[in-house]
Amino acid sequence: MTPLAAVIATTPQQGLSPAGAVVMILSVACVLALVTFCVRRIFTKPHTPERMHAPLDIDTHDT
Amino acid sequence: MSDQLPAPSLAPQKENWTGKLGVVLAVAGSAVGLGNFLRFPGQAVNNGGGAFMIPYIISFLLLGIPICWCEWTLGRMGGRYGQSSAPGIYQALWRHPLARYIGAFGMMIPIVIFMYYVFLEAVCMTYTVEFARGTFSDLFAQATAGVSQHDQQVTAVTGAADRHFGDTCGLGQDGSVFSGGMVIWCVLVCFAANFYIIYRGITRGIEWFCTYAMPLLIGCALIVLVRALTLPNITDGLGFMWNPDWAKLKDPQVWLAASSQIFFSLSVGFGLILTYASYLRPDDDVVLSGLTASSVNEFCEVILAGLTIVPVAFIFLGAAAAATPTAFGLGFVTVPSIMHFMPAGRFFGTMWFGLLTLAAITSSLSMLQPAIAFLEDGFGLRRHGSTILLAVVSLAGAAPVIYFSRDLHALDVTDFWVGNFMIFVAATAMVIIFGWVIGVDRGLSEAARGAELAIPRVFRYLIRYVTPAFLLAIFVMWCRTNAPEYVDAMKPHAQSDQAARAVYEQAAFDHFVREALRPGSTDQPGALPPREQLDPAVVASAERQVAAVLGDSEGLPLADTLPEWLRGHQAEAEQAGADARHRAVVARGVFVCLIGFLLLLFVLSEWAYRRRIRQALFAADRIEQLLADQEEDDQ
Repeated sequence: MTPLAAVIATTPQQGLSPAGAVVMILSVACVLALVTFCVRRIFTKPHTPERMHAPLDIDTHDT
Repeated sequence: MSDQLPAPSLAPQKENWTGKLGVVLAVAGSAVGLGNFLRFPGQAVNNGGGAFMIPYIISFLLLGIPICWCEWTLGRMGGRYGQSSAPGIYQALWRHPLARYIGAFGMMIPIVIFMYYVFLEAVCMTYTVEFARGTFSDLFAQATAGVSQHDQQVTAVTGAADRHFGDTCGLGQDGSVFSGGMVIWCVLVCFAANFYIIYRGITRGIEWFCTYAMPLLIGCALIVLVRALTLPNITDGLGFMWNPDWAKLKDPQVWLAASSQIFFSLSVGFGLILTYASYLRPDDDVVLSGLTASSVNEFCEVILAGLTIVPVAFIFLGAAAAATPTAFGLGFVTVPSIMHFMPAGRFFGTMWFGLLTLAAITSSLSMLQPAIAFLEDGFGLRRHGSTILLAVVSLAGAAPVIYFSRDLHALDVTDFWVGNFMIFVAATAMVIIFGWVIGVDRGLSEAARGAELAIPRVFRYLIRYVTPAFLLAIFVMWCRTNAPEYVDAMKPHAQSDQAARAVYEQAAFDHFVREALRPGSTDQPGALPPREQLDPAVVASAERQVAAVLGDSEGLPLADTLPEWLRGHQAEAEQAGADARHRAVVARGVFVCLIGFLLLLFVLSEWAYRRRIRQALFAADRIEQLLADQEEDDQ
């Protein structure tokens, strides 16, 4: 296998332009913010019970 | 948060998701698939890099999120009537005969996509096993033996990866996949795994599997991401991927690519979420759950895939390999090649293709459930009966797609008509049903029931006007760009003539170019430089002479009219014509089978409606009426 440094040395140097960096950081930040917001809400909101039964609804089988 | 009273179910509920996280992971698993990891990076880098994100985000807001909320809401509404398949859900919500046919149209899409998706899943599994066993290490070591220059090594490795992909998928000859390679065994394993999980049901099967598979998938992808971002000179690769080419924003094709990517990657609009959401309880949240599933999909696509494959491919293989436009080329040729040059490539290759296999399985599971639900709701089959029947049908459909593997032509044609064309139609129908038939106010009011997040009012206008118009616009544009090619591909005679003529044209062009470059040596088969490197005057002159010899029409010239020096290519032209005719016959056969399957589903939907769905809806309506009367009496 070619040593990593030798391989990378042969690739053309292009670099991340300021505009590219801004677009990349903004895209990643937006997605991270959205996913964090949603997952946090999912985990912090307790699931409400499906139905609240009043005492009169409960059949005690008393005759 | 909604303060409405709990909505009673109008039918006995068969099965429910056990928790919100379970359904979110299942839907996210359905959306996160090969398209996220293989298609998105190629689309972005070939359509303006960072500039691609502008149409992409706009499409996410105008197309992805509205359709997602529509589908979640419609699914939960249908589930309240005891319906979990598209024909039953549409019929429950819109009492019109057309509804069940639209449902059948939507139900066909996941079944048929499964028939070819399972093959790609098997290819991912094959690559996982081969990386783990060191097959790729041996293959690349053999290909690069005695080659010291990096450029030559890249050519040798990508060439070997390309040939290996061709051998694995049988690209060279129809039927070669069945000759006993590992991939056919992986197809059977994938089939068995999918149907076993489906057989176990919603909670013990799909929810259980996705609860473990999704975190594992994301964990593996994060490890690969960390490895990618800690490579030396990764900023060069990131620059190649993310540096924006703003001029591309003026190109309508870039907008089409971005909106298509959002639409297909979120897996919205064709009935998967409809079925999954039908297993929610009537007061379970759909708004936050839908947004969360979509955001997890975007996380996998933009961050895990967008920062990994193309940047790493660029620094190891150069711009040409990194900008491979096709998902297959990027995924199955470029990625294995990267692993040869990357330290611990065998480990990362195994991990990468393992995560792709998991992503594919979580997606393919969601493609089976709509049909299972249809067989159970519409015909009263039990789980084992519906699973066995669907396994037989999908195996029968997958076999020809896998058999006609030459250039993956059958798969490509099926994907075009079902995985693209029909999805557009089904999604447009869904949005119109939500926004115009049910009514956007009623629909959003239903969505708000149990919602843990309020839908902004602007979505009322988006869902009613903007999203359908946007969908129709990109559908028309997409058809204009792609449909003529696929329609022409089904004409055997025309395709045959074109292919044969192309052989004559190329031979004649080479002849005249040789004559111009080396007068008197036209019969010597020396290699010519590529057309773009030739003098434009020579090219123009050669093209004029080709037209003079072969005629201006696009038809095949008669053999008698050909000059003597061109007749030597007759056998080659006939072979090319025969190949093209075969491809066209396969394309036409696939199309006819798809139409036949669609008609069969129309018949089955009608039968299911008369057999069980009508009675179930009648009973649900009676319960609804009784509940309304009781409420009136209470007041």
